[in-house]
Amino acid sequence: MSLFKTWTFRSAHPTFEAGEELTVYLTAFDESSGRGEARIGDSIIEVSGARADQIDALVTIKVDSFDPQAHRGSAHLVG
Amino acid sequence: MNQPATTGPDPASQTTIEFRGGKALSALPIVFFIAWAIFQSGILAIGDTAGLIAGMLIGLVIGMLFVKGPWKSYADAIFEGMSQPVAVTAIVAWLWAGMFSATLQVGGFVDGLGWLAQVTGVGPTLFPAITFILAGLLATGIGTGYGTTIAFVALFFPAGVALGADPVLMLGAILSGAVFGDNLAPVSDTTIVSAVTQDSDVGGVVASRFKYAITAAILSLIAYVIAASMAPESNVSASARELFEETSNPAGLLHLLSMGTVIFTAIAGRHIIEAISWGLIVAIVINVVFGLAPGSDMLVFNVPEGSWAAETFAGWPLIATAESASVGGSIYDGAFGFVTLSVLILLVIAGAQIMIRGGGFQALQDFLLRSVAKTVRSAEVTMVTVTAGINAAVTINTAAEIAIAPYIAKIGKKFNINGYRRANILDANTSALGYIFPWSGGVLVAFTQMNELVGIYPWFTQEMVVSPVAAWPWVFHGWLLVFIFLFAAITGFGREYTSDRISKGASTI
Repeated sequence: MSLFKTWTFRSAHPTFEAGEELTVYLTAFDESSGRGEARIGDSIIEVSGARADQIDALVTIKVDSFDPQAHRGSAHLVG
Repeated sequence: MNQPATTGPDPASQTTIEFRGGKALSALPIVFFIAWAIFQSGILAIGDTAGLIAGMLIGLVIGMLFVKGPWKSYADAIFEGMSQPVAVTAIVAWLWAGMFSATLQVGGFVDGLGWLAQVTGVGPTLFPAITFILAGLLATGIGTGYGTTIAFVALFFPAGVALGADPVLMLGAILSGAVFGDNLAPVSDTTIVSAVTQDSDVGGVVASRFKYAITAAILSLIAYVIAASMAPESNVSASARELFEETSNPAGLLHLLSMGTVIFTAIAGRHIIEAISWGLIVAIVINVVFGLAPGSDMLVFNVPEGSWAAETFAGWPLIATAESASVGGSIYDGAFGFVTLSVLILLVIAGAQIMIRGGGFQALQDFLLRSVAKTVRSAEVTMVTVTAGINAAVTINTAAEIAIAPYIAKIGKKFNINGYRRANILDANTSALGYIFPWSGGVLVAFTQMNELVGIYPWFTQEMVVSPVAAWPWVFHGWLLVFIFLFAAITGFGREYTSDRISKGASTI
């Protein structure tokens, strides 16, 4: 990569588009609801289809929706 | 500092020693040592490394008195600490760099620098800044900040001081160059540890940390020029300066070839032992072939006058008669100068291991990470300050880096902070704090080497030796790296998430 490619200021609240595929760490998992969570900076994406043993592991998710005002969205596990 | 080190098992994961008074008491040996170091070298101005050994030993003995149950686990932790590869790696770098630098000294490299400074007209205002650049380049090439510090204190420091540069600024510039190389060099062990522990590749972390390193370096360079122009008139006597200028000799610059050999061999991917060994061989050949120094300046067996050995081996190469029997020469002196410091480092690492096995290290990290990392901004600020804090306390920075690395990974992943960014925060603050405080390995090694200069050059006096406590404000590159990372954490400069790109080395399941 270029030495100058990342000379940028990145928001604490990154935004995402529906349909976007991301590889992220699953940062939380609620046993009772069966829903996982991927916190990216201070934005949070709820992940369906995740398992408890995937916490702190990299997973690939597809964004279903994202609200840039609330910094929250939903996604499902791919593969 | 320097070379590939094995990261081994997570050193903070297992508590094996219980202390009366709780986990905090496991920090007693290290805290006692730091207090001793400040009292001895800071307040009493006694720069005796062996004195610090006494302080660390007493600290280890006092700590043992607070252990609950059998003291064997405490003794085991001391051995475990002393046998860690990071400590031995540092010692190896010192011994090799010590031999190499001393051999360049007897070959007149400093006289060559003196000649070059006169020809180019470089004076005390620019010398610290140029020293910073060259030290940074050497450290980046050979990957060892400690080795660079030894070479530059042995060779550039006396030249700069004789030309009238402020000794404290000269030391600060050398340490800054060492920080730069430790942070950026692909073959530096701190770089490698930062990449390996944060699921990243070395090439990727070096490319991504360039922006922080170069920003801090440019600001440091400007700061050294400004500080040098504002520095008070040097107290180097006119006669010392004249003597230095009289002894200047361009032939000493032939040893640029020796330094180049080390740099190119290291860049070619050879181990630092191999790289410096080749440089040493080239230096010896240059000294002998060009008549810069006789063989006995590099290695000599002194046998007592009138003894059997003197009569038998008289006239042999490398044999000389003296009042008492001894071995001498640059190879001997260069390595021997670091023996005391090597023992001290082994004991300090033992003290750090007591804190790890006593649970104090983990308790400290847990407290810091749990209580302050609520947002990605505060998480990154915490990563910077905790890494800097741990490195400020532990003398060998690679040891501190290995200990804190799992926590940086843990907190960073909680916010999906990219592996490269985590590695950069970890390594910059590790490199910086390893060369600032009086008990840090970089400053101790510089002070040890500086004391060796008295007696080598007729114009170099004890007054020119800089106290370890005087250096800390002047390591501009170290401080600027810390400030730039605090700025980056607060503003998001250079921040990358795992969703932006995955560092090579991280794997999905």
